[in-house]
Amino acid sequence: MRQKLFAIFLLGLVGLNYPVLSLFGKEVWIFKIPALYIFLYSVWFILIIFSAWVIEKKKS
Amino acid sequence: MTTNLGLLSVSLAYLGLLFGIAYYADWRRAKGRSLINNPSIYALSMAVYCTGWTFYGSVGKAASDGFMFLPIYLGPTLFAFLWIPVLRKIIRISKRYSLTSIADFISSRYGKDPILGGVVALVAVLGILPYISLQLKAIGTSFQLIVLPSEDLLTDNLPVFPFLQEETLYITLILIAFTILFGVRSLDATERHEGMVAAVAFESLVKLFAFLMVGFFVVYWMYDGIGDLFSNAANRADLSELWNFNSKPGAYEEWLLLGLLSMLAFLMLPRQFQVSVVENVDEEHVNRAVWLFPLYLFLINLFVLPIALAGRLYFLDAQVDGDTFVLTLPLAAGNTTLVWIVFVGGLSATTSMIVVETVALSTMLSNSLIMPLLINTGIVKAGASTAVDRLLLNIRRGSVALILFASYFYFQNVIGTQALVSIGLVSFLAVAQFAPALLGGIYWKNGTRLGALTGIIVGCSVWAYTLPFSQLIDTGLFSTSIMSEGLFNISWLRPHQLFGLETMTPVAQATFWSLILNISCYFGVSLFTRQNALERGQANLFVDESRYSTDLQRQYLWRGTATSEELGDLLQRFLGAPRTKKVLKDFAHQKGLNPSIVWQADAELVHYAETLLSGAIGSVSARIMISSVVKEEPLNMEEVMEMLDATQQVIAYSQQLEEKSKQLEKASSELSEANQRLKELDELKDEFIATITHELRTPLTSIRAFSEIIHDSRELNVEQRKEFLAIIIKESERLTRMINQILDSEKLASGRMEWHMDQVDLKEIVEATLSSMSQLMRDKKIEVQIKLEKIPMHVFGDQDRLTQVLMNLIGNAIKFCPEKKGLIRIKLKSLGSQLELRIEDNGIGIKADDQARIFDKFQQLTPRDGKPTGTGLGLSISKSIIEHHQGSIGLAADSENGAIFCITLPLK
Repeated sequence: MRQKLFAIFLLGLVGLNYPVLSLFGKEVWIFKIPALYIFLYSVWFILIIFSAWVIEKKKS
Repeated sequence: MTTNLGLLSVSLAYLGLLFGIAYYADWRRAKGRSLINNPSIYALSMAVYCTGWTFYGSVGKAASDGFMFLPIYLGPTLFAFLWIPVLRKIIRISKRYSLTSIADFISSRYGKDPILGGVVALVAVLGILPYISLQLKAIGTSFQLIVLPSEDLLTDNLPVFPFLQEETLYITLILIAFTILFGVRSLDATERHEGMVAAVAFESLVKLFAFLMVGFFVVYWMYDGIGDLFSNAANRADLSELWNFNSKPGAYEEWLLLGLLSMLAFLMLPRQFQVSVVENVDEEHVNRAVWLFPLYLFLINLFVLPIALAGRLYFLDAQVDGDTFVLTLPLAAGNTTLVWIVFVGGLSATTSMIVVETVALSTMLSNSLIMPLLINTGIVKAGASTAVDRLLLNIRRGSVALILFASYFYFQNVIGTQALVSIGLVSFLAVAQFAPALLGGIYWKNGTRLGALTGIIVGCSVWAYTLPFSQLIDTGLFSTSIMSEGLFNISWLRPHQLFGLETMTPVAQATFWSLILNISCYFGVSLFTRQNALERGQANLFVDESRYSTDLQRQYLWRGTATSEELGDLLQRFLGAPRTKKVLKDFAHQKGLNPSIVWQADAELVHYAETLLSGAIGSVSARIMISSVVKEEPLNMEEVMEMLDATQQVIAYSQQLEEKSKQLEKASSELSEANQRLKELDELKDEFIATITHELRTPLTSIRAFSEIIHDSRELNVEQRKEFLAIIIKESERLTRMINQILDSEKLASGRMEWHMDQVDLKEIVEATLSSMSQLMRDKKIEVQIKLEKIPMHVFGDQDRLTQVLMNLIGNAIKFCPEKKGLIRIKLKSLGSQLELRIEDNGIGIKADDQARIFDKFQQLTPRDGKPTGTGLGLSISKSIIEHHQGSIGLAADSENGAIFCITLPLK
């Protein structure tokens, strides 16, 4: 479990930081919402859900 | 929108509610039914991370710098994924040695060093003062806005400095009372405050709720959804940079550095250490917090940017401070309910921070700064007998008041117009300087005291020069030429462009330099300095904490003499008489000693006493006190290493011994099992031989008899001879069959049977068997009723063996059927994944008592006409065969009047 969480950590480190985020420099819109906004919050949410699943499933 | 009175009543009512919750939680704890022993509450209490900075300041930052408000929440989110190894280790160490603050933790790790402890405490207090002040600023501003008449909101009349000082002062006083009441009531060795934690968890929910309400209001009431909001914003050129990552120079670095800063500062904030480590009830709770806390951060940040944009759009000429949008937007829209909700939310966010932070800081101040000073200057004498417990408590309370008044002063005179987030980041960087020493301390044994001290001092100096110092320049205390030309006119000593870094924001470059220098000094100096014996020992206890988790393994690095009475007197000075008595009694009880006599204290008692004292006065002072009582013999390095090594060896040996004895046990139990089986087999063999010889003799007797007759008699005619020979043949066949059965039974039992498994149709086998026995059935005039399902019944099995089973069962049925009235019914049908075969006869049936035994070896039943025939092995062989096919065979319930055999087999 610790290793999976470490992997999620690394994923977050890469996905929520510069090189990846700079891809959204241009004005890109999805349903009238800026792509960067959607990307940041989606990645964040997915990381959380993923870690919740890794942790809580061990108990059941 | 309202009056001073309205404002005060709501605030007091809310604080009263918090008092109530805290009181209730403490009451529950006293009853033994803790309210907060729950992982979700633990996670919520960690949300004290989100203060007035988050509630008000984030929107302000977003309104000017776009997404740059976000990294300080992403940092802790990422760090959370590492909590299970890191945070749990810190919790374990802290609980084990009663370390109740960051200063205590760090000083304990580096040899219980008082200087390090004092430095950390001082930096923490000075660094966090601005942070507490910003909360007061947020409260003050929200007061001011709420009592403003609505017309004034949109004009330029917003007073810049909060003028409602009296209200803020009232709140400060009330908070001092609250903090003392729920945070400093007694000197609990564990320093846990359940009431405070409950109140904080509740406030976390309130502030989240309030913020989400504003978010929904702005997005779905003021606009038609997020898309609509952004479209409106897109029309303003000056706003578009807020949601993009412009390639503004310094943006990259700032994002990364702020993220890194928040990751490191997270645990180093005194309030976070307090709720995550000191107040932790159960280590397991951390697991839930790993994802629940980031989820909280996610939710509270969802609407920040939309609210900021809405504010910028609404208050066109940017005269309204972004830090106030959360309140001014509902005010301007006239939504009174929402305004009150936001106000209470803001109150939650700020007061929870103030209370927890102050409790943590007062602990550090009194344990790591004041207490050692008192001991050092002889005001509190080690080795004296004056009771100090009241004094300690009052020192703690005094610290609370001191810290809060100082913050109030800072708020009144220094803060001015700075943005909330900027103020907060300064505090972040201050406490982040502890990170290398603390994190290095639990993973690197070679980190030395000097290394830690150097790192912290250097890092703090850089911090102080770049951030607070520049603020002091702004207030006019120092010449502004220092900012533009650098100290002593050296250009690379300019506070905001230190060492020539031109492109970063002040905070970013301060972060960069202070941390780089801190870490380098920590590692560099540690590598070149040596540790003393105590430091080495402590380093081992911290880094290898898993090896020292039981009493046996723990090495009490102490050698000396003391009596229980001396220790008792010492404890009494600081903990009070009743508690000391109880503690000593429990300890004696556990050891089987008589508590009323004085006994020679061993290392365990001394350690125990020291741990208790640490909780009350800090590990450094505790150590000093204990050494004063105990006539100690100092250990040198070799002795320490020897003791540590010896323990490790003892542990290794004892583990090996355990292994061996386990193996021995296993072997001996296997042996006794084998013995048992041998005995059973022996009995079985005897039984077998007895039965077999008897059974085999019968046909042999017939064969011999008739052979003799044929041999001896001269007067037999052809007919008679033929008849007798037929009998001989029949009996020989019978004998052969018996012997075959015996062989089969033996092969089945020993697993040496050869199976030829294939896909076979049971229906065909049934039909084939029936037809082969049809003559026999006709002879006995037995009627046969067959009911086979039309579909083929494929099983994976051995055709010959299955046939054998059927012949056995049908043969039995024939044997036991009444003459001339016999009826055999055979039914074959499928049941889902299995098939069921029933063979019924109307014979004498099988008595209930016998039913269990018939499948055993050598069991025979008496048929209608005469003596039992056969070896009694038939059914047991059938059973073995069926079980080998993964099926089952048994008697149906109503078998007392005519046997009903029931076989199930898995269908292929």
